Amino acid sequence: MNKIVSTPKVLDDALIGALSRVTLFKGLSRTQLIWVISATSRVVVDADKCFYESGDVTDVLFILISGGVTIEKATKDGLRSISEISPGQTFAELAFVDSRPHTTRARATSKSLALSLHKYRLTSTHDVAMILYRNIAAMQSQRLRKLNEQN
Amino acid sequence: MTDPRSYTTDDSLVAVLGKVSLFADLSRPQLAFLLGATSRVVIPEGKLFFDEDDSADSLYVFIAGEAVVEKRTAADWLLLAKLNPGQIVGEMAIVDRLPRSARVRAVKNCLAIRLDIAGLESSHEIAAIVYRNIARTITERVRAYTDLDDKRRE
Repeated sequence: MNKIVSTPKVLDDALIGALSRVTLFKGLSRTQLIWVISATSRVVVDADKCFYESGDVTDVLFILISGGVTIEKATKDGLRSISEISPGQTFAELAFVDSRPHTTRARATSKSLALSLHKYRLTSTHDVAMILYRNIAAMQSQRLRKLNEQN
Repeated sequence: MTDPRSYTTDDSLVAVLGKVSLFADLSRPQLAFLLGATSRVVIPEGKLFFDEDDSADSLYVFIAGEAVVEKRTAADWLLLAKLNPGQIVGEMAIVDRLPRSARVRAVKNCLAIRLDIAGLESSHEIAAIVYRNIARTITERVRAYTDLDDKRRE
């Protein structure tokens, strides 16, 4: 079961430094990063437990801070790992933008800490929302270009 | 095909923009603001909206005329799609800032609305909605690819 530890109240320079290197947050100022931290919750998931399961509707974006996560998809032969998430990477972007149920599950490969950002928090800050959605669009665009090249 | 000259008023263009999926959820005042940040471009028959490998800082809403999307092959140009009124071209390049992956050519005289990044981002509220819609559109294509990949594996 996911455990929400806290909503960070104390600004953490190390955390701000770490977030500034996350692709999703490229272009955000220090002030905006501080806002992001204040808008997130910290979630700890034990090894082999899931941040979300296939079919869940979450509207939440995760930023992995420590530990490891594997994204798994159900196939007729069982669960297949399609992506490994390392600290500093984000996951659940697809469901975050289209609000559809997850088609995969995100399983912690070791005890993991992530920040979770709920979509509704973005409605109150247009400048941060603009940059985050632009970055998500850019990340998906690059993913689509790679898929186009492979096919 | 609708005559490009029939789109002469802001009201008619706002109505067109309101039907574009990329501008879904924008209010009429926001659509009117967005229209003010655009420029109307007429592309004569045989000319290009943009060429493959061009640097990208704008997207186009195709309004009227006849145009095709083409990609260079070893021998010639491969037809990828024909544009329909209200269709967007160039949205991927404005978010990832990579060169155009295809060219768009006017087969007949065309009218389009050109929206550049600076114009779009002149309102952060509108830009947030449009970028979210671009992300949704691209995500749908990514999901379609991954679904296809899953079917191939089965």
